[in-house]
Amino acid sequence: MAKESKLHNFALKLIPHRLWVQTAFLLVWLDPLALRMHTACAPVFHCYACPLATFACPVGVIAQFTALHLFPFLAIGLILSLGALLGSIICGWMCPFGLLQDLAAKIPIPRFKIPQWMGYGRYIVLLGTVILIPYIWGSEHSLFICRVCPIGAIEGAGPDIVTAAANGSEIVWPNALKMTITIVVVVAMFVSIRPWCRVLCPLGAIFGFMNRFSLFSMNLKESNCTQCGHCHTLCTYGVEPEKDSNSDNCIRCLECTKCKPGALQSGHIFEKE
Amino acid sequence: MNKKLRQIITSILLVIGLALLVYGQFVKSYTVLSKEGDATSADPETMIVKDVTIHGVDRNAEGELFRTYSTKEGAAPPPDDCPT
Repeated sequence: MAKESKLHNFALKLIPHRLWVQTAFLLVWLDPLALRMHTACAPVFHCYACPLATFACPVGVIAQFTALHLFPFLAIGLILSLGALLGSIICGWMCPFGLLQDLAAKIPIPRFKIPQWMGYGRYIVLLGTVILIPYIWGSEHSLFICRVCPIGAIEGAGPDIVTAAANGSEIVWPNALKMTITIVVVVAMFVSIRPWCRVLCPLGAIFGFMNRFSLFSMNLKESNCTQCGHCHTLCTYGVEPEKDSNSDNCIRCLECTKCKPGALQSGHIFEKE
Repeated sequence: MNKKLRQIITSILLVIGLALLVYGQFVKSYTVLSKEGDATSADPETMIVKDVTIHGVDRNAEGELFRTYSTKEGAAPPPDDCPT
């Protein structure tokens, strides 16, 4: 059996508590101290139009700056450095919208599998609504990411509507396309697992792509792998870890590391074979 | 992919990411150009304040301008309104 690293052992102990880790991060993003540090970005998808957002959303910042033909140093710097360190661990363990989808996935109902090729949708969303459309047509275009983002509808427009209704002032509803996308994503959360992350999330596209180059990496110890396919069952995300342990579709929930002792281990890229 | 190549790419990405963070944070630091009181001097039509292009404005509940943001620095996020 291959020697297990301290990092791997630590990760194994942490896996059963992933939901709690996500909840702890949620408390950080929800601004319990009312700091409203919107001049800095969080590495997760959390709309800063939300009255409870501590940090700015990196996707919103990138899109806004692209529309202004400016380079968002802080947002890109944060994504690159954290992506190069952790890859999509951020998606699996820190993202509040990921937590919401994971909670929806706890309801024991049959769910359909999302084909792996649909993961390319994230790159289309990233290139289209975050970069090309803002750059060419600006932030007023109806497909500008913040105008169609379901997280913005839930976290930003939602509280606005409630506040307006409570105050008796005029309610401003999100546009029809944003409402439709939000309803589709919310419904999909209950019939599939993490549909937003797997098909549409532009931030997930970046972190997923960086899985192959991140310091934290999943290592397959081939000598320990019996090709039993148990890791396929453990992965609710539809990834085949023994074929591609650092797949761009992986959110690094690390469930697959429970498979066959030592076959799949969490480690780092500079680890000796 | 070759592990050595992956290690090199990881190192380069880390260095670039950290360099951008430091540059964005300390060199192109965020500035709020004007706050309540003097923001009325900003012209929202031309979006020019003191020869610096601003990328956004915050308005109060009555729709009055009370804060403007600089784009010259390029480090700060835009105002946090929710486009519907």
